[in-house]
Amino acid sequence: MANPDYGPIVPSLVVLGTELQSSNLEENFSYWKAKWAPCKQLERSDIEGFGLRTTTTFPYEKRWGAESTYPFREILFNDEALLSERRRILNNKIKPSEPRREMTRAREVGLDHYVFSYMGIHDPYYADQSTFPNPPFGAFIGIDLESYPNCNATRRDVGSPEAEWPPHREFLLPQSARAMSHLQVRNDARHVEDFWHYWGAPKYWREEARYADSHWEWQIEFHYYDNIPISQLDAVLWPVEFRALGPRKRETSLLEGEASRFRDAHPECKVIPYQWSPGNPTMSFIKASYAVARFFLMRERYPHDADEALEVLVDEL
Amino acid sequence: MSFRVTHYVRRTAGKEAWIPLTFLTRAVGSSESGPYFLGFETFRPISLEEVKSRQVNDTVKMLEWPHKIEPGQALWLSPAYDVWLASEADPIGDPAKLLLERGNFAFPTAHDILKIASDRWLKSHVIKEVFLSQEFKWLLGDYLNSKEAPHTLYHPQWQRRLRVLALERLRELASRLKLDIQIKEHHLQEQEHRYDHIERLIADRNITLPLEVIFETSARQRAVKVVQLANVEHLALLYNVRGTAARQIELRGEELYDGGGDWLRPIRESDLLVCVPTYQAPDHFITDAIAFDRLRPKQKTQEPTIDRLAAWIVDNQDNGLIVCDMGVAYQIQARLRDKVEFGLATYDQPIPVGIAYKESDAEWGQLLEALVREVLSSGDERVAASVGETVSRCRALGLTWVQDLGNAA
Repeated sequence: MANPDYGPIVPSLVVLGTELQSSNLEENFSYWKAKWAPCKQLERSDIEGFGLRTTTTFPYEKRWGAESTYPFREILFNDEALLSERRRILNNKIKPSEPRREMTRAREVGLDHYVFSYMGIHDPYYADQSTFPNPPFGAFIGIDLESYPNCNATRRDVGSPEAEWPPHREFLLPQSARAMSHLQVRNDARHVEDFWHYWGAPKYWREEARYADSHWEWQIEFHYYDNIPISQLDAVLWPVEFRALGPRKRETSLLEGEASRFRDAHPECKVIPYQWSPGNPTMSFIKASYAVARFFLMRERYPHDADEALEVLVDEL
Repeated sequence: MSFRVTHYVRRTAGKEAWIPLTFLTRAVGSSESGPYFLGFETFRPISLEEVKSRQVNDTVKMLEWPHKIEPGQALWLSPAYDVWLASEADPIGDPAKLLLERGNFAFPTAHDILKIASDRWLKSHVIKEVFLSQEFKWLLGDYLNSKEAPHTLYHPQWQRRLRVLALERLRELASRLKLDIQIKEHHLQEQEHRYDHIERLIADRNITLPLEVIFETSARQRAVKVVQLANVEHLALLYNVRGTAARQIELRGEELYDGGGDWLRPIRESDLLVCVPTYQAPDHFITDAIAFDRLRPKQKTQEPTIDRLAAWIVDNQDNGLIVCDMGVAYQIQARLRDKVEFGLATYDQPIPVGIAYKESDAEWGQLLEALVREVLSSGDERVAASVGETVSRCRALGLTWVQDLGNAA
């Protein structure tokens, strides 16, 4: 069904039977700040980072057994929306045999009604799971959607070992969650006072043995009720690959036709091509995501392609 | 750490370009039990069991001899399906490039199939006469007829290319084998769609390359199979807005109807009559449903044409429900305007949709599949654009395109 109007009335946030008002979420923010006593306060440079967009990823292809689907096509062309797990079930988008994310606790608190995004780097977490390693797409989600109750945040993934259970205290207003990410950097020693350690800079993936496995445990999660229409995405990182036509003769290709059609259909969403490398399937994506986020903060616009952003950070990367 | 490349992930070769392959490695000095890594990334190791499970479903292939691989190198797939270890930046120009494996993929080219098939198949029968019909409107064309341009066939560029390529390959073969082959284009007179007739024409090899998409329902599988292009999961439940049929079963337009579980149950328990287009996929579906007592026999009727279906829903405005595919629903809507609406329900399982061939002619099926892949991965911009357009049209009709566009789009 092309671009149906999914827009149901957004219900209030109910966690394990308890309705949470925005005042509860404000109290939670104070609660967590009080845990850092004395709590180092935000600095002016932190506020600039408030403009960063939250991220989510989806693969080119998902294979299991003899079956496969093309999530990028489903999301960008068929549904024209990122759908919550619950909405995908209701709309018969999940095949019975299809492997699903392990999110037992999230389902328990009803977060399967929401689309997830992360205050942090794009991470193709699915690439080493049951699905197939393949080019990941990365969405930057528009900031206008961050209003409660359509959008809420949790200080941690509710399945993280760092999260409280029951998780009522974990829920934050979106704006508080943004502040929390920066306060965390100021007050949590493991981030070495570097916001990009929190966010997911490639050097930490390379240098810290457990970074790839553990960074999700501290990252702040945003949740959007039911769906995120494509029109609300700021930008999409779009994988391309090099092919060889002859000695020193190369071309770039991968779904370029569809990229053009997507651009035509959604001029409001910036398509940012990046070079995906099968030899470095995660890091090529991580680097592009990081560089684009940094570029966006520096120049207040998205780059034409990831290379433009990577050139700016060439010394670091 | 030094690495050995041990496995690679299968994909369809490019027509002219070498394309990179995703590969798995393990550390030099480690045993076959692993751990394994994606390329050069060691931070998310993969167990041997996981690698094996991917081999079982044929998506991952093990190299006969693991080979040392350095950063800056990559695995490449040539158009001939040879696997090379070569420079990531310039594989073809790399003087040290190394052939790891001769092409023995599960995805042969049309040339490969013709080579294999030449003795035991081609000389004997099939292509003595090849009929190619383009005069059958295909399903997507019907949709166009009702919505946009009457009497206009939808005949996209990729489909034309498929036809030309099939002729090209067959002529090449004929010349090589010095066979006297007649390749005929057979133009069939247009008529109202009768899928039982189309099915018989294909099964009798009177149409070997039907430019028509066919739903491979279980009822058809004994006669024809398809080279799959898409899946259909949904069918339309069309009702007269002036009647009470929709209210009786709480069906609303444009919504996915599940009837609280088995969507046929509320219909079975009502006084509704169900009409299906004769011998189309919903007809097969409803017939099976009656066999398994999910609907009462007297509830079902069928009509062979769009006009008759439209007349039926007008005559049965209070208790009539047409169960049909979305393309048919749009055509009825085009005739009756705002008098009818439809909701959607799901088939019990997705039905493959594609280009049909005679069920027992596996060689022709293989060749057709290879030709489709060849066309879709040709890299031709006009072909890619037309495929994109077809994918959009499929979507409008509730079909989900599944054929890997791979390098084409």
